[in-house]
Amino acid sequence: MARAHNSSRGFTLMELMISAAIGSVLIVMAADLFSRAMKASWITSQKSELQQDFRAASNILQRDISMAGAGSLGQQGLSTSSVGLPASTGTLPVYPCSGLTTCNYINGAPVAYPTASGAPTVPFLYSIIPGPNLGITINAAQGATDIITIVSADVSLALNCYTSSINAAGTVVTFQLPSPLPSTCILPTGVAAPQALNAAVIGLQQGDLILWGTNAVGVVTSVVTTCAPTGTNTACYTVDFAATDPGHINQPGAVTGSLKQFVGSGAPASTAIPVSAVRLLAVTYYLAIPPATGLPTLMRLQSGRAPAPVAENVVYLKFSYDVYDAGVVDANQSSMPAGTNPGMITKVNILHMSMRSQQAKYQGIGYQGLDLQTSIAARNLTSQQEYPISGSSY
Amino acid sequence: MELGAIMKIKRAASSRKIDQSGFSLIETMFAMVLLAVGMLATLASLGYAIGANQTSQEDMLARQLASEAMESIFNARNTSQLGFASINNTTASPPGVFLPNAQSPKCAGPDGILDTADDVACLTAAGAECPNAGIECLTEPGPDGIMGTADDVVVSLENFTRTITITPLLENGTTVPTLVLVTITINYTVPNHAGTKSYVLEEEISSYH
Repeated sequence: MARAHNSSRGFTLMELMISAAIGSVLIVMAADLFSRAMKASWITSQKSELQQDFRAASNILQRDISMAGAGSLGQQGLSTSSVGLPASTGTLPVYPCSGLTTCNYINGAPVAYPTASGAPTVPFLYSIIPGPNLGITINAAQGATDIITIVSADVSLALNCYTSSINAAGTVVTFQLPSPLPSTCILPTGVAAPQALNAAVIGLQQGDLILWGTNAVGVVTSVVTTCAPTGTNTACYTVDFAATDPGHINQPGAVTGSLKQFVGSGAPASTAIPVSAVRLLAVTYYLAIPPATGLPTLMRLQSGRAPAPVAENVVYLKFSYDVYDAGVVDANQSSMPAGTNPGMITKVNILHMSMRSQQAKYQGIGYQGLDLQTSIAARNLTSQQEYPISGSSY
Repeated sequence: MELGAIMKIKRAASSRKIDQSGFSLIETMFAMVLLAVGMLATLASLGYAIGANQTSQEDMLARQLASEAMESIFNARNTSQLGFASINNTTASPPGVFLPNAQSPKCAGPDGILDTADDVACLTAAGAECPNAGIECLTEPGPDGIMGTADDVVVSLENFTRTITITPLLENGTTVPTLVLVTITINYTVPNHAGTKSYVLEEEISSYH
């Protein structure tokens, strides 16, 4: 009987206390471990998201910079790196503008185009337009951020297959597709005709910059409309270049640089433009804080179209430039040294593109951060430095 | 009471005692060790995931360091700033401009070309010289996510080295005079990751532009 009683006895108080103590220590350790694991996984998720955003943003930025001056700016001869803009009416063209009413994307004010040394009143559309300290200031102690504009020719739209003519006022251009196509119109194998100019994606849109020849730039100010083709032409489009664009690119009153230069003497109702046209892509990168998110965002603005966000949480953006002028190297310049112009830029250095992670705080951990520093050679701009070759054995 | 009845009760009592005995201490310890090993394996995989994430950041920086040096070489060639014979290591004959062996990444000097004798100390976003005698450094906004505040984090790339090696190319045993191979090797260590990692970028560069 005594044995049976012994086998069914419970824990003593002492045993219970000890096991409870050991159990609670274990639970505390497990909770601590869990908390650490949660913190680590939060950091990991923030960092991986940051890296993903960062890689996407730096890829698109580097790709655009490497395209500076590509396409027709070089192909059509003359200066490989710049196009003179109309300004003789006293109104200087400004950038970066969008649509038809706004030119205030950066610090609420437009920026004047740079002018070449020796011709201070002629603004130029250079293939790279530096914008030192022209961006927003996110923190006064750090100072203003930079902007950068890269110009290249868009050869994906075969605008050079069309012939163009202009009205007497120099504000409306009619594009017609001739048949047969001109010899300069080279299309991919199997493609019979170039894209329609009113095509939804590839076609001309309000705000697009068009370059004729080497020194006439206009900005599209309306939706492209169709018209009846004349003679043997197979398609006809009417495009407005009204003098109301906020960037003051369309200046029919200007003697040089404007489309008015193509209007024949006596101002006939329609004058054929003797040179072919190409669409320019002027891409501006800048930081902005859109009210919708309140987050500092890297923005990409293509010509006069609506700006598009590239990456959120970019908190700093700085560039420097290597300038090469007939054997003299000015490396790491934040702005153009005296006697040089942006057409002499041969390398763009991204000094800082600093990003932070999406979420701010978690159990005492702050933002994660990342910074981009790299260089991109302006491949299409170095060609003007190549001839004559100096100091080289080849 | 009969003797037989007593025996019956005793047998029943002893069999109940066997039923009620729990795990022995040894058995419990054994189970706990097994559980601990399993949990450690889970924790190790978590640590590995975090480590891999850390490594991917350094991998990305290595690519940047390699590509910026390659861009500077091609740029100097394109502008004829650098004669083709100068695209060589300083130890070559005739000597070129690129320092041999592994170099801590510095910033390009007046020539705009990296890993040459005129390289200068790098600066932080605040304009101060980078730590470790000006080895290239990144400036991150820190826990508050704002640049220019006291908690900005300056990350020195002291755990990176860059080696630019120029080697002639051979065709049928003869050196090709108009083509060399540029090899840029980035060696780097990653915290909590044993050994040195490498990123190698190779490109051939021609004397023709």
